[in-house]
Amino acid sequence: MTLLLRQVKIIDPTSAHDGQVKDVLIRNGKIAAIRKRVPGSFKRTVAHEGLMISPGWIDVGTFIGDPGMEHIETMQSASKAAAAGGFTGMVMLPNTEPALQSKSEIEYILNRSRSMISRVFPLGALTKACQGNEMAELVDMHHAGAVGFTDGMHSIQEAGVLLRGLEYVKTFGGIVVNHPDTEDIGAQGMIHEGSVSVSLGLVGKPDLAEALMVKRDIDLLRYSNSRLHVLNISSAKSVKLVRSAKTEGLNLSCSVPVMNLVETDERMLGFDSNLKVRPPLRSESDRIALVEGIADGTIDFVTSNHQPVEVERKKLEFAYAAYGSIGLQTVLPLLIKGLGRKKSPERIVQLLSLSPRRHFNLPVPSIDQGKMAEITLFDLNSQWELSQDKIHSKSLNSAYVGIPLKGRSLGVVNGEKVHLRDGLGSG
Amino acid sequence: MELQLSTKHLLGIKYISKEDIDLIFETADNFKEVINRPIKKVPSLRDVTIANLFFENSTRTRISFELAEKRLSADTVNFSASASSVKKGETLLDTVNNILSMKVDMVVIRHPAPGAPTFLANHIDANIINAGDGTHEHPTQALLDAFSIREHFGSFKGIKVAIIGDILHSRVALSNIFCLKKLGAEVTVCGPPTLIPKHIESLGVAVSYNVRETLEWCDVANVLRIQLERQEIKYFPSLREYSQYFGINRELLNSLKSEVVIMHPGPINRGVELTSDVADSDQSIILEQVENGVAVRMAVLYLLAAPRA
Repeated sequence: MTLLLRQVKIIDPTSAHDGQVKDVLIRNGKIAAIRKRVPGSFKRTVAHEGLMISPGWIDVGTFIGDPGMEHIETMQSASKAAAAGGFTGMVMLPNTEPALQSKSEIEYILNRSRSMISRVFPLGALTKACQGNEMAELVDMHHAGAVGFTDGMHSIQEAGVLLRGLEYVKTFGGIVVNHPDTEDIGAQGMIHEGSVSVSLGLVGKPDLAEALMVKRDIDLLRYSNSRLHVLNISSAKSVKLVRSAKTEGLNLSCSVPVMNLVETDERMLGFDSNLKVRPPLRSESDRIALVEGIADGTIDFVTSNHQPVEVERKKLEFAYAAYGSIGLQTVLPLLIKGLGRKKSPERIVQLLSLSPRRHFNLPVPSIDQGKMAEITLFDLNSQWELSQDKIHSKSLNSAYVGIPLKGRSLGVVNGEKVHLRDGLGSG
Repeated sequence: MELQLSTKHLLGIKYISKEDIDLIFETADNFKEVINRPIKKVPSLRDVTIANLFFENSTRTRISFELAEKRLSADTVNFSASASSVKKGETLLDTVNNILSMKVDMVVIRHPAPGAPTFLANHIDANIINAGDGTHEHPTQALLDAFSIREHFGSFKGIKVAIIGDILHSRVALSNIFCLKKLGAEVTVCGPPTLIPKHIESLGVAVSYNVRETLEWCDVANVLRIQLERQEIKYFPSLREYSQYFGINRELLNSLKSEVVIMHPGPINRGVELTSDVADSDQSIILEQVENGVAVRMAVLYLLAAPRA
């Protein structure tokens, strides 16, 4: 397989060609040449005004229902959706049935993922069945290839359980991932607690529920001197806590769902169940604080918070609908919109590729001659709409179908495997 | 009448305008006169079919709607959750679509989930009237409450209304707040702090935890039912303590400087939020509220159906 990328801007601070517009020739999964002009014509050539490339993007905290919930998502469908969204890899949550809680489940994921265009890097369950009680076999899973440990969508409620996890992963320099949510504060809360929840008569989830746990987790991290990733924060209070903990020099990172950079709870007034997500969409001041947290480096990267839900559990009365929104295919346009004037190609690549890779010890595939090709192609100005037939996920629960979007990933190259948007690369 | 509502549905008071409310009241004035005639029936909604879908128990709201429909000569069908296919696992959308395929024009729905009428309005083609959706809204109750206040005081200018009791679980409180604020009244909500939602001030109301002070302040006290059936968590220690510190009795009313009008959306927990000698007294307009309920619901049905004629 030979593919020529004509006159693309390379966004990769690890490459000698960073910031330059070049021809990039990919042959047999490797970068064969990067030149001002590669002579000759090739059957597969991509020439697209405004095209940029970067090291392949990584999504952290992707929910994939395989094994156990293949009717909402399979490894195959998730991989296709990820490739269409520009991701060459996903760090997958362990909330499957059974949970990814021993080396055999980790090996299953890695083996199935090997043939896919977007690779899957599993997070192992921190506790058995992600129940938050008894620690799972972490060292064994680490040796099998788990890239971190978490109970995923189940926040660890017991401080002692999280503390033992933080201590234990020091055996192998591992990382613990926890999504902060104190369950018995705003116990049945469905949306952000504020003027909107009051006027809709819905039980609110106060930002306190999140901030209390962020604070606790930081205290436990300080005590254990381990590594922690705070997954998917949503409130100004959490940004403040993480910012101050980082100035202490703790080994702490955190992420935000890209939707929370764009939407607020005002959107809930129409009871659209596709916006019923966890963490909830919060107030405008929270949204602004999250964008600032990105700009000053408090927040390390953004996530798709990809959570497929079948129509039977979504097209229901708001209170009965399941949580979650698919997100892999709309990360770039939402990120561009959320960052506003604070956006730049360098920052976007940092947030989607370099930073998540660094925190999960996934090597950066530099765009240099002779290296394996793991590349995302994107255009920050492309205007498009997501239509239902273009959704690759097995579930359709997106709030962005039929909405004009700006900025699009145009494809990925991952070794021998290539996915290009329709009409590109025909040459 | 040429005038029309600005909306196809009545999903909540927050979705309608003050002009809509005024129009409903003017229309209700006429219907109140009609239902006090020897022959109470008018042919306004002849050939209009209305389904009353009650996914939650109700006695007075349901009877009130049914009477309003019958007095307008509409054809009605009734559905209640206890004897329904819902228990067999059918979704709300399927249930309602099945009923609509039998050519129903309007749907009156009561449902335990906030937003269920909005969900239906987004997916089906019929006029939807919210008869109470969980802890969200109960617009016709708020309209009949405000109509009763208007009847008693003539206008809303300078009128101080206290809403007392379980504000947290009350759709009546929420709809009343939206309605009274639109009409220009002043509103205070009062109850134990655990039964008052945080951020309620953002709706433009004052908050008090002291019933005596609130009663001294207000012209009207709309006393809400303690929603025992909707409390999964204990928000106050006992009914005994509640009635002692937040209930209204004759002695308390007699000790106030001026006379307060007492309202209650029913059903009353006698001896809890209101004692019988208060509920049945001359100060109470509880039964007028019920009578006005029919007139107000006739007005809502009539106005929503008008574009069809």
